[in-house]
Amino acid sequence: MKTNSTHIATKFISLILAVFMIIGVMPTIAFADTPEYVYISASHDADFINDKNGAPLVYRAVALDDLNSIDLDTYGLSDYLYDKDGDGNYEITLLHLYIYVHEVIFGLDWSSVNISGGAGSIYFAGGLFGFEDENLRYNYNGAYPADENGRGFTADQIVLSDSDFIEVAHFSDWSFYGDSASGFHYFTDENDEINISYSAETGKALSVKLIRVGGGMGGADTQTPEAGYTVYYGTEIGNAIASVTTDDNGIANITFSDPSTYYIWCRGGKGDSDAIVSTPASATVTVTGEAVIPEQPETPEEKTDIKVTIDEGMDFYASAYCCDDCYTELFYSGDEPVTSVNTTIEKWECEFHGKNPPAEYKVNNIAVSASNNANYIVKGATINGNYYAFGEAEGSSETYTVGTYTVKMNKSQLDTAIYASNYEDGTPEDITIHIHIEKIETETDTSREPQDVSAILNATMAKLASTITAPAFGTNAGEWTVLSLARGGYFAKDNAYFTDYYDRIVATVNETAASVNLNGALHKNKSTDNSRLIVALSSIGKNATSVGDWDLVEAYSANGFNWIKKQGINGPIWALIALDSNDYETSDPTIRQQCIDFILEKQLEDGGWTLSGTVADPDITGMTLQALINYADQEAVAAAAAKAIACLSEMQQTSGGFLYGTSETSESAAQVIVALTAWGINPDTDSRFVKEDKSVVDAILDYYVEDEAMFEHQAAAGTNDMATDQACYALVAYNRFVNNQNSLYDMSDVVFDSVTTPDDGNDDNTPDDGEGDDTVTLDKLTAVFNPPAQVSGLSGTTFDVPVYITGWNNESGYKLIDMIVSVPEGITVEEVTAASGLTGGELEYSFEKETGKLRVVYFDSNNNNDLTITSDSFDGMNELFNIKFKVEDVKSSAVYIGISGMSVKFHSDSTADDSMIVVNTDSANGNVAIVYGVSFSAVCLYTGDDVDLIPKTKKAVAISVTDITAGNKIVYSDGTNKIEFKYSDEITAKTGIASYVALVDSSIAMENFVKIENYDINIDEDASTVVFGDSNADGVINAQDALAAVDFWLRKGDAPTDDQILAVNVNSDSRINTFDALGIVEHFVNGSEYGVITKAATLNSDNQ
Amino acid sequence: MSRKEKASKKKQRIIILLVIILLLLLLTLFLFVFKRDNDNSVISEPTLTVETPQKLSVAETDTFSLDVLISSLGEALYPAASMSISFDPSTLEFLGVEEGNVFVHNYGGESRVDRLLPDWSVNIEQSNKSGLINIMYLDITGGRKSFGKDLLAEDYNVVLRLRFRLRGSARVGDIYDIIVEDAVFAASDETQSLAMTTGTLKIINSKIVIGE
Repeated sequence: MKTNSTHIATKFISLILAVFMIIGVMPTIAFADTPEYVYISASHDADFINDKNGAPLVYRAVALDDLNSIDLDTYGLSDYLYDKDGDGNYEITLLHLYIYVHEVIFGLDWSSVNISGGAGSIYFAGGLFGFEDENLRYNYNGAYPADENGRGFTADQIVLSDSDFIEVAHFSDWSFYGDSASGFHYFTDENDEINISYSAETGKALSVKLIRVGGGMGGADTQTPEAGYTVYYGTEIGNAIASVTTDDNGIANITFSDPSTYYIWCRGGKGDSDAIVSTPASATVTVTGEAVIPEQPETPEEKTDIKVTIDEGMDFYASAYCCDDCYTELFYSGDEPVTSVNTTIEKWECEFHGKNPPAEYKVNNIAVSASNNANYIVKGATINGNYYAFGEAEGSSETYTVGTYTVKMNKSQLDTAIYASNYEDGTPEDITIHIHIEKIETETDTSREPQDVSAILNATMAKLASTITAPAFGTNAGEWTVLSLARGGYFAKDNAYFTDYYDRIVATVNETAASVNLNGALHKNKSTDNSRLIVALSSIGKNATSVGDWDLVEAYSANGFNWIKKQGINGPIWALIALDSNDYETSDPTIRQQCIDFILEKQLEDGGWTLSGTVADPDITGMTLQALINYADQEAVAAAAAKAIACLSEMQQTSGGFLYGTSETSESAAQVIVALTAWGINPDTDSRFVKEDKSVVDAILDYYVEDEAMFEHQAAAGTNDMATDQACYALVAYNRFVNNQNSLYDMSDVVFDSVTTPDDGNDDNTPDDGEGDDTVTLDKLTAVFNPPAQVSGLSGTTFDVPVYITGWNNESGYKLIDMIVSVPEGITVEEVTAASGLTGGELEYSFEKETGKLRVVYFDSNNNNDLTITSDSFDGMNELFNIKFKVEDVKSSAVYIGISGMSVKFHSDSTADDSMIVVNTDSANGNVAIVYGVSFSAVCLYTGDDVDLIPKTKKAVAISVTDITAGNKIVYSDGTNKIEFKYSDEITAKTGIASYVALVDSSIAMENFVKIENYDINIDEDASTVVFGDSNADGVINAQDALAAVDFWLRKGDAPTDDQILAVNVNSDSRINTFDALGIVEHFVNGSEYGVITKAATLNSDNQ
Repeated sequence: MSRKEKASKKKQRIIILLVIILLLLLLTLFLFVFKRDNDNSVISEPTLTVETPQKLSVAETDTFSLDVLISSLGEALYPAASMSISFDPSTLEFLGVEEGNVFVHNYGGESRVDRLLPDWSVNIEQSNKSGLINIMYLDITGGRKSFGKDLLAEDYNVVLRLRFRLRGSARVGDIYDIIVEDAVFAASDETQSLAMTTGTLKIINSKIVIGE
């Protein structure tokens, strides 16, 4: 037993030793740590960006060991050291990776990165990976790196571990931050798991789903399948072998024929706005197996139009190929390919040009050989079978005149050479010929009648005006809305909507331009911010060379073309549109041409333009055409435009619309419409832009959602602010075109305000330096003063006439107003008062009875304050004074009252050009009938327009009645209509004459309202009253009334009654909408006068 | 005193004692019920209160603010609200409105936040000129940004704060009334509005007492 035991023990020890010996001889590498990697991608807008070697940065593997060697202390980043688990060791974080990528992969110096924020809130304000600004997003392992409260972790506290993957995205446009379609694209597997690498077998379809992971930044991520997206694949990113389109569920099925490592990818996309807001996606696919011959998908018969022009006098031999493997070189002129038309042949045209057209050109025995079958030219014939007849009669010898000869053929019929030879001697002869291949543009107009879009346009403008009540600087709810409403004529340019907008803009420009501190630039990288604003300002008659303290136009010259082109082609396009909107001069006279040259350089082979890539997109092509219209006299521009128009025609879909990427969008149609109208092409009837009887105008109207009076970005995608803005100004452009008005951006028909150029002797377009300017232009001020049509001649009768002014600018620094009023004999001045909104001065006046002159002056003699008007204006009018006149002993039946002179002064130096503004008083006067007894005058305050709650069949009439007790009941009766007028204490107080209002049938002639025989006055009964703004007639104006205006407009509950229309339509336009709600709010809060009161006090009576 | 008399007196004492006990019970019950009713009235009736501050020192140079509180709201949504509050502009300078802590909803808003502080409109210059502070909130979306009872809580009932400064004319012993002249929390269905004019919104005004 002992021996046996010893034996067993020996065996056991031997076994142990053997194991150790085996271990000892194994390569040590077998026990080495497996390297750990993280993966990082970086993109700019729709595409991945390239590293220092020009390779796209797509899930580049970075070893954690490499990151471990990065010492944050040496970068001055010790504040961002992070010990998550408190074990005394600092973690490797995303910040380490950023440093590595920035320095090693991009070859940049970390000092170029602008960092702010503290630990846990590190912020990259610019410079990271070479990006110029902070428009960055990033995802970590396919999701927004948020804690349980949705708060995002910053790079310094994202601890990296093996196989983590990170995407860093930069966007040109900040709208990615709030856009609902913003996000990161990924591919997911059959379990809906995000993967960045896949495997597949040759010949078997790999099925991946393309999703967009959105949300983040404070909320849960959402995953949205991307339908209709193009997924590319190839062995190099950006060099696609082919592509597939995702189905409705975002699924892409890709079959690989050869074993290799492939990439699959897609580009980033646009969101609700016109900006790219989502990232590109990519994944690798390792394909194994034997190479297989892929099934050739059945090629659809692709067709296009091609025109072949053959000059007179040439014997010719035309060699045209088309075969499965050589689709790109179809025609040859001599040895050089002259086109790269992509086998999409529908129609050839052989056009024989005579030197002296229409001289006959004889082409005897011209034969066309296809598939070795000789054929003849037939004018307008359609090819059948293998016979491609180009002759009027097969096999005949014909005489042909100059003209266009058309045949139709498809790809399968072109798979062998086609010959056109001189058979005169029976021998095909190779001869050099000229063949021009171009789009057929022979037709111009179809039989369509241009459609009337005014109803939709008006409804859309009304919606914009009522929902965007206070437009401000910005892409949304800003300049585009202003442009639409101004060029669409929805508001007059001096409407408060625009003047208030301008006031906001002045404040914004002063603040922003000072902050950017770049010669009037509103953004250090985006010249389009200046351009967009200049276009909008021009549309409302504001000169962009003097906006607050800044010259927005000078920014182009002062910052140079490099600033303009920072956004690629977009910058020059919009710079040209902006500069030409008011023919602005630039101090650098080469700026425009630099823009043009840059644009022409960027034209693609297909004739269009794009922001990036090699295929034209309709939006940019349309915008470029809009920008080039004023330079069509340049030969190169004209040629480029012709190609671009042809390109757009080619791109048009059978729906009439245009694809942006893989989807039709209303914005694309909008840009094409604006472009075509600028170039004098009717987008609704021109045959080049009507496909299967659908025009691009039809296409854009397909996106209109009538219930909302808004437009969709894509069909059935729901309405969208940006789509509505663009569609609206496109319809404005079209409407202007059919009404023979200037094109959208040609604002030579706008009356521009003059500008007060601040004192600046340096001619440097900077704010006032107090040294004197070369030229001074001043505000245009106009006095509005409308005496009543009639007053009672009874001695002691008083009446009021308010004095309003238009063109007032609180920023101008007015110091004093003076005015002389001619008062007729027999009338005196009882009192002059300053309007409650006029501040900064004190009122003095004197009435000289002998001369009939009332002199009024308003200023602050002690402090020399700037005069300002704090109240809201109505229709551009601000009230200055109210004059109460008194009838004493008037001998005549009519008297004239008027302002004979008025000025606004800046300072006391009367010799200086800029010392004063002479106010235009040409219309500030009127004749007043002196009447005795009861007499009526009437004005129409407004007529409904069927848009918002006030029907066209109704109008509001205000009457003034002399010699009655204010408030007596008055009933109008003309035998057909019986109307009880409502007494208005407010208008009476304003004019000093008993005033009433009523909503009446709009067909009643105004002259009927001044006939005393049509009225019944009851001196024993009080009239019912109207209090403007008091919708519920409870005697109090408050939030309930403002809400009523909103609810009426939203169609909540019943339509307003006539009494409610009178009470609620406080701004006295043709509609009840949210403007009235705001009017009630302003009246309540600011004490502002309702527009309807101002209107009643300033309208000329209709019985004059 | 006979035994019978003694017994009768004892009986009387017992009855008196019982009556007293009964009266005390009734009094207690009455007070309880009254207090409960009183409490209920505070809770159930929407009341807008302009807070009365502690006595202010005449030497007070700092600004001070008065909370405007709402006790409760009805079942409706209130897309608009306004109040007109008078004061003596010769003794007080109105400096503006500060945010309270009563939110409005933000249904379907662009931001991810589902509630917002209301943006009140007020004109300081006009208020000081007229002595009447007109403040209004209007949800122009017609209801997506409304006041609602679900956003009120015990410590979240400050609608807004009025900031004032004492003018130099203030004297010890002055009492300045801050009076709500009109107020409404407006619902689209006006019958559900809470309005001072209809008595559906109670008002408690403020007094500012000036001390040493």
